[in-house]
Formats: sequence, structure tokens, C-alpha cells
Amino acid sequence: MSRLELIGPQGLRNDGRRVQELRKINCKPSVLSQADGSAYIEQGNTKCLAAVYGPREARTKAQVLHNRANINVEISLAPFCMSERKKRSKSDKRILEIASAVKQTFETIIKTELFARSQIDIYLQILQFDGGTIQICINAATLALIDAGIPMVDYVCACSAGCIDDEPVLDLNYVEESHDTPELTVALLPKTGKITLLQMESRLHVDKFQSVMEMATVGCKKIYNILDDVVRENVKNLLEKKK
Amino acid sequence: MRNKLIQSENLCWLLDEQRPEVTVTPIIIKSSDKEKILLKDVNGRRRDGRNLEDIRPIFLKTGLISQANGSAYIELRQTKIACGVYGPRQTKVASFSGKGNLNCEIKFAPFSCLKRRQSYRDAQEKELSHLVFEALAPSIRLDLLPKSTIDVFISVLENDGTASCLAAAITCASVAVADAGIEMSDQVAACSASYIDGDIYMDSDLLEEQRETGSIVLSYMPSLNEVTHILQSGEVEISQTTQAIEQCTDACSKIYSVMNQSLLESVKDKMQ
Amino acid sequence: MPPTLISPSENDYILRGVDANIRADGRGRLDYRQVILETGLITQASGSARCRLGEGTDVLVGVKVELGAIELDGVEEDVAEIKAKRGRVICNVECSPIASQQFAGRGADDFNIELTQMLDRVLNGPQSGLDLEKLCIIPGQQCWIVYIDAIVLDYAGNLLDTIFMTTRAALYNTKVPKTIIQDIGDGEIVFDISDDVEGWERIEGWDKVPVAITLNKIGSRHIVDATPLEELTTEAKLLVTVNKNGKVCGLQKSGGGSIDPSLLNEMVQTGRSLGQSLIKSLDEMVRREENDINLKQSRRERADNGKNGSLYSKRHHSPPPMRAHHQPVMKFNADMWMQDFKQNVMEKLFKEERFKAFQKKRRGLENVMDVSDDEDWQEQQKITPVIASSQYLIQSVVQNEWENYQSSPFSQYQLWLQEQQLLYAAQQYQQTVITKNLPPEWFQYRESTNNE
Repeated sequence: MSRLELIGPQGLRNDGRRVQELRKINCKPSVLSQADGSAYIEQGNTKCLAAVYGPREARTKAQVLHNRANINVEISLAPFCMSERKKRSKSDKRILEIASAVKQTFETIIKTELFARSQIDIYLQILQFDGGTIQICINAATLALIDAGIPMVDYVCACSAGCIDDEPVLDLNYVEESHDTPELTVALLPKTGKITLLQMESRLHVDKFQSVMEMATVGCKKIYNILDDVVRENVKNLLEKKK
Repeated sequence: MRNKLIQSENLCWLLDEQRPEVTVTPIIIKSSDKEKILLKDVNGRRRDGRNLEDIRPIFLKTGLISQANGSAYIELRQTKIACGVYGPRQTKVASFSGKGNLNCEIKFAPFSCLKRRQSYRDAQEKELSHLVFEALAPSIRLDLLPKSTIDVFISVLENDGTASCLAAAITCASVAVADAGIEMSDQVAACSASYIDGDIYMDSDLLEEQRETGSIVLSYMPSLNEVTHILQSGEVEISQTTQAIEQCTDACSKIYSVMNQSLLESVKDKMQ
Repeated sequence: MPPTLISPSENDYILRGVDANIRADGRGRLDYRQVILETGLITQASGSARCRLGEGTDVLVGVKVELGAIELDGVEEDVAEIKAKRGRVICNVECSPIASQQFAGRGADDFNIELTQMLDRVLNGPQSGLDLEKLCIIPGQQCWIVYIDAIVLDYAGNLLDTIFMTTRAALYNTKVPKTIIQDIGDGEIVFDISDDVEGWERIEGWDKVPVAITLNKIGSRHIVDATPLEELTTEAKLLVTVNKNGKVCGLQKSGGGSIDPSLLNEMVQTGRSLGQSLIKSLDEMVRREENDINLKQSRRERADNGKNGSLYSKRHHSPPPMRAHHQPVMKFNADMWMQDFKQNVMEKLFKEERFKAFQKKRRGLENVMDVSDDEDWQEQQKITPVIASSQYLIQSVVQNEWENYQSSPFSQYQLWLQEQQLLYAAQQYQQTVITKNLPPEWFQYRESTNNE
């Protein structure tokens, strides 16, 4: 089997990054006019838009929870987001799984008990895809929720890490993902360091686990710093506009 | 019994006599041969003797479906459409609406077209249903019928050109709604036309439709002088569009008199 | 469709505004909002474009060109003959729930189908202008399939026009790889797709793709580029699709109301002329953007002009969140009115003074009998656009303007206002004086008589 050289001789990956480097993150909150909170985020070539509506009255009675708010997550993928065009139905199993992972993450972070009998909708639209769906969804949703002013315990930052040729690697892209690289996605609360989501779908030796985990944790902290800067800047801009 | 046997033997013998000695593959008429059929002659008359701006003769009758609250049947030579109207009745879904719902469904019979149609509703039928709805809705006083639904079911028995079929369906549905005694601000008459080689062929049939570069369907309320729907496709000069709109409104006024006539007759029948 | 209901008073407000040719955001009836067009945002697509109307509606179109087989199953013979030589166009419109809460779940399905059909009807006929025969690789077997996917990212009215505009720009941006076709004998044909970065061509006929103009009939008038609230007030909508040559490529009416035939003709005319000018400015926009990028590339700068870049770069200011139900209303501004008025007066006076000066000059001439010859004056004006720079003219104009201003309705209104204020002040003063000097019993008495 001709295996693609994922890490070059100089220790550079196929997109020119070093092993412990993140892809370039570019993000911007408050980009949509209709949503209560919105954010755009791109990590390398993966681009995602998030919109948050609510807290508002639950649409159907079945969704009403009497002691806390119901969180509803919907993810849609643009038909042109992958290299091959594919129209996905809304009930695609893979998408639903990611949506439920995002939902579970935020159920514990958002102070849902403050909004009994109401509903918070998080809609995510992936415009371009290059690996790392869960992490970008969580990061985008965090920004949008902050923009909507929904009380949360802390930021949630997610980052993936993998292991190529016994070497831990941060923030996998699509090429690396699709070469059976063990990928570990971690979402954590940066201040307390508590982990809210941990997901891995393939095999990884237990000795390597610690180092991969640590790498992902460091990545999350880095993402946190970026997101925090953007949020602070945005608030500053808003205040200036008020004046 | 014996006689019959002899007869059949005779027949066999006859057939044997008539059988050709050589077999020949059937001659298939190619589409290039079809092209030679002229759509109009030197005098500007069409294949069926109409002028360009003439519409086909209309047969329109109400009250054919006994189960429906109102019904109508229309025939324009090869185009045959029946329509039944049910309602107004209570809306099944328990959502409140201040206006009545109008539900239009158009269905082509499996044998209505050149090719067999499927029995389930396909995309084209859905699209046409929506167009009928849009053409009819402005004429019906739905604001007087809150929380209720009107069902309009149209079945096309024979289709001779989709555009003219849509126009006939709108006309027929409008008469059926009136026959059901539902309040309307005016009757809707509809007419289609094809743009072929710079000419406007009013009320075109299937063959003309196959050669068209563009088509227009216009539905119009003659007494109120209001257009309820217009659908045009194809690349057309604006002056031609204007002319087509004018011709269609004229034709609609003619259709309108037929519609009135048939409604009057149905009322007369009921009086007796 | 964010707000789904409109109050009668809001309805009336919009109706009257349209009648007076001023809308809630200060536009006239036939004014478009600002159009921001960007191309080449999605690197994984063959072509992409994004268009924003004002600060609301936002549509992203990705075009993908993929190899496909020509399908001839179940097609009639004469149609198959034409189809065998053609590529295909497949349209799809999706309203993302991020644009509006209404689009969540299955809420957008019907709307998606409706929009897709409208786009499909225009792009899948001969009127689309696309040269589908150029997209055919091997007749009867292989062709390029052009998938046009539009995603609605944000909604603030006039969706359809935006979708058409974006589609046009995306088709301009689309790169179809070049193919090399070889005949290896025995009727077998093989082809090779060029993997050279430069080896691409545009879709033939992109410039003939029509744009759509939605005209909304409100009252007895019609407007373009409606906001969501205006769309709720709309009685009937007419979609006019127009191509570069000013030919009408489709008409479709929707909405609950009906239209007078004469108004219908007028609307078609308006749509056509607006569409043509829109196409011109759109073409200008996409060309300018591409030139910019080419220029930067030739200078070997990093082309961060949207290419490989982010959708919300720092270059564009994002729209401020409009959480309020209403868009900001442009208030009637007295200062602005005054400025306008002054300008008008100035212009008028300049003209008069110039005419006078012109007459004076001609009086000086000999051999001229008729001094008030207007034709000559018109020509003179064309040749010397501004002759009013002389000191004398300006002085006289300013003086005249002031005189005019004093007799103008605005100043008289001001004067009247001042007068009223003075009167009111005087009354107030009188009252206070009277009430102070009067004994309290008198006051009470007066009140009691009033009660009787």
C-alpha cells in the first residue's frame, strides 16, 4: 500500500504546519442580522457559520422541560462543502450524531436552569469542510452563544489531536483524518480544565494516549485565547459604537 | 360445428395467400420528417383552419360530478378536463387562520399524455397545482371563510399541450368553484399562447408547443379588469410580450362569455 | 420571512410611504439596496459567489462541475437526439436555519422547492443563454454536469433577485477544466482532463444568463427590492427575468392579489430597464474584482482578496445585529430639507443670472434683433457649463437667495413658529401675572363656575 507521507522529512505536514501547530483561525461574532447571536469561524479551510436563537418559548409542547431550557442543535452541510458534490438529507446519521455531541456538550455548560420551559436553538452551517467537524461546531457555537448573551459557566473550546507514526499531531485536516489516523477530539472548559467531551473512534495505544491528550488540551487553551481576544475586541467595538 | 371448422381452414388458406414473401423492417418516421409539417399555410391559417389569434371552440358544462359541491367539464378539441370542488368545510389541522384555505390538486390521468403517466403525483403536477392555486386565489373571497378549506381537484383526461391544459384547468376550476356557490369577486378565465418564429399562436396545441421558443399563460378577471396570474418562459422581445398580454386578455373576455353561458344554463336547469 | 404578521398600522405606514415615494429606510420606490458581490470564496467549488443586499440578505452560491453520464433512458426519440449533445444544469436552493428561525427542521422544504423551481425554470431552458453543447464531452455518453447550489445565509427580503445575481456571478467564476478528446478508432473515444492550473475555461454564455427583478405591487404602485415588512404588505409580486439584450426571459406572478393589465405592462417595462442596468453594474463589479486579483497576482502579492480567504474578512464591516423588529426609520430632517432647499434655490438662481448675463452680452452685440432667442441659449449652456464664477454673479445670487428664502414657505413657517412662541410666552406671562395678583378665593370661584 502506497501510503501518503503525512509528515515530511523536515517534520512538516502536508499543509506546511509543524506537528504541534494549529491551523489559522479566523473568527468574527455578530455576522447575521436575524439571529440573536451569531458567529463565523474558520480553521484553515473548514468554514462554519453559527446562529443562536433564544431563549424563547418552546415550539412544541413535547419539547418543554419544566426545570430547565431545552437545547436544540441542527447542523447542515452545504452541498458543495466537500470535494465531491453531495446533497445530504437532514436526517443523515453522521450529522445527527455530531449534533447530539454538540448538544450534550452545551447542556451542562449553559445555565439552562435559569430559563425553565424555554428553548435555545443552535443552528450550524458548514460551508466548507476540511476536517475537524466537531471541534469547529463547538467553537462556533460557543462564540455565537456568547454573542447572544446567554449565561454560561465558561467558554467551551474544542480541539482535535491525533497520532501519526507514533508522533502526536495537533488539529488534523481532512487528508490526515481520512488516512485512518487515530483522532481524539477534546472539548474542555479552559478555566477549570474540566473535560466535557472526549471522543475517539479508532485505535490508539494506551501509552500514546497521555501525550495526545496533553497536546489536545494545549490546543484547546490556544483556541481559548484566540476566541477570548475576539470576544473582548467585539465588546470593545460595541461600547465604542454606543458612545 | 363442422361449418365453422371449414371456415377457419378457409381463412388460414386466405392468410397464407396474402402473406408477403419477403420480410421488411418497419420504416420509422424520424423527427426530421416531422419537421416538415407546416404550422400555418400561406393564408396564415393553422392546421385546423384557425387564424393565429383564434382560440379553439370551447365546450363547457357544469354539474357533472354528483358527489361534489360544484363541478365542471371543459373540452377544447383534444384537451379534456374535469374538475370537482369540495367544500367549504372545516379545516382538519387545528391551526387558526383568518382566511380560508384553498387546496388545488391537478392530476393527469395515466392515459392522458403520449407516454403513460405514473399514478402518483410527480413534480410537474405539484408545480401545476401551485400555479392553479395562484391563479384562482385572488378571485375567491377567502376572507369570508375563516377556518375552512376548499378542495379543488382537477383531473386531466386528455392533454394536448401543457400550457393550454393549464389554462383550461384554471378556467374549468373557476367555473366549478362558482358552481359550488362559493363567493367570488369575479370569474377567472385563462388563455395560453406560444411564441413561434416571431408569431404569436393563441391557444396552441401539442405540436405547436413542441416547436415554440416561448410560451405565456395568462389568467384574467374580465369584469374587474385584473390579471390574477401570468407565467411566461422563453426569450421574448418586450413588444411581443405586450402584444401577447393584449391578445390573451381579449381571448379571456371571449372565454368569459362561454363561462357565463354555461353557469346560466346550470342555474336554469336547477330552476326547472 | 422573519416576521409573519404585520399590524394594520404598520401596513398603512408602508402603504402611504410607498405612495409618497419614500420608504422606511429612505429609499425611493425603484431604488435597490447596496449590492456587495464577492467571487471565489469556496476553494472546494469550481466557482462560487456571495452577494449581500444592504445589510441583510446574504446568499452564497457554489457551482460544482462534475463528470457525468448523459442519461437517455425513457426519453422520446427526437428529444434524445438533442439531449445527447448537451451537458446538464442542476439547480438547488437551500434556506439555512441560520437565516431565519422559520427555516429550521423541515420548515423550509416547501420554500426551497419553490425557489429551486423558479431558478430551474429560467436556467434549464433555451433562455438561460448557457451553451450546453459546449459542456458535452462525448455525445451520448459523457458530459459535464453543472450543479448550482445556493445557500441562503441571511434573510432580509428580496431573496430571489439575490439568488439570481449570485448565480450569475458564480457562473462567471466557474472554471471548467479543459478536456482533450482523442479518437482511438473503432468509434471509441477517450478523453483526458487537463490537470494544469491554467487549463480551464469559463462556461460559455455566462453573460447571457438573465437576472430577475421582483416587483412588489403595494397599493397602486410597485416597488423593487422589498424588505420583509414590505413583502408582507405586498398584494402581488411579479418576477421579471431579463437578459443582457433586454429580452424578457420569463414572467411569473405570485402572491394573493391581482394586477391591472396596464400596470402589468408598466411593471414589465420597469423590470426590464432595471434589469438591464443591474446586469451592467454586476458585470462591472465581477470584472473589477477579477482585475484586482490578477493585478495582485502579477505583482506577486498575496491575493487575500477573498480568494482562499474568509467570508467575513476585516475588509467588510459586518452588519450590526438588528434585533429590533423595525429597521431604523429615517426621520424627516429639517436641516436636510433646508440644505436641499438652498441648493435648489441656488441652482435656479444661477440659471437665471446666467441667462440675464447672456442676454446682456447679446444686447451688446450688433446685428442681433431678437434677444430672447432660447435656442441659442441652450447651446451656449452646453458649451460653457459654468460661467458663473464671476464675483458679481455670486454676490447677486446670494443676495437673491436670501430674499427668496425670506419669502419661502419654510422661512414663513419658521417666522410663524417664532410668532406663535412669542404669543404663547406672552400669554403665559399674562396668566402668571394675573393669577399671582388675584386673590385665591376668586380662583376657587372660577373653578366652581366652570364645574357648573
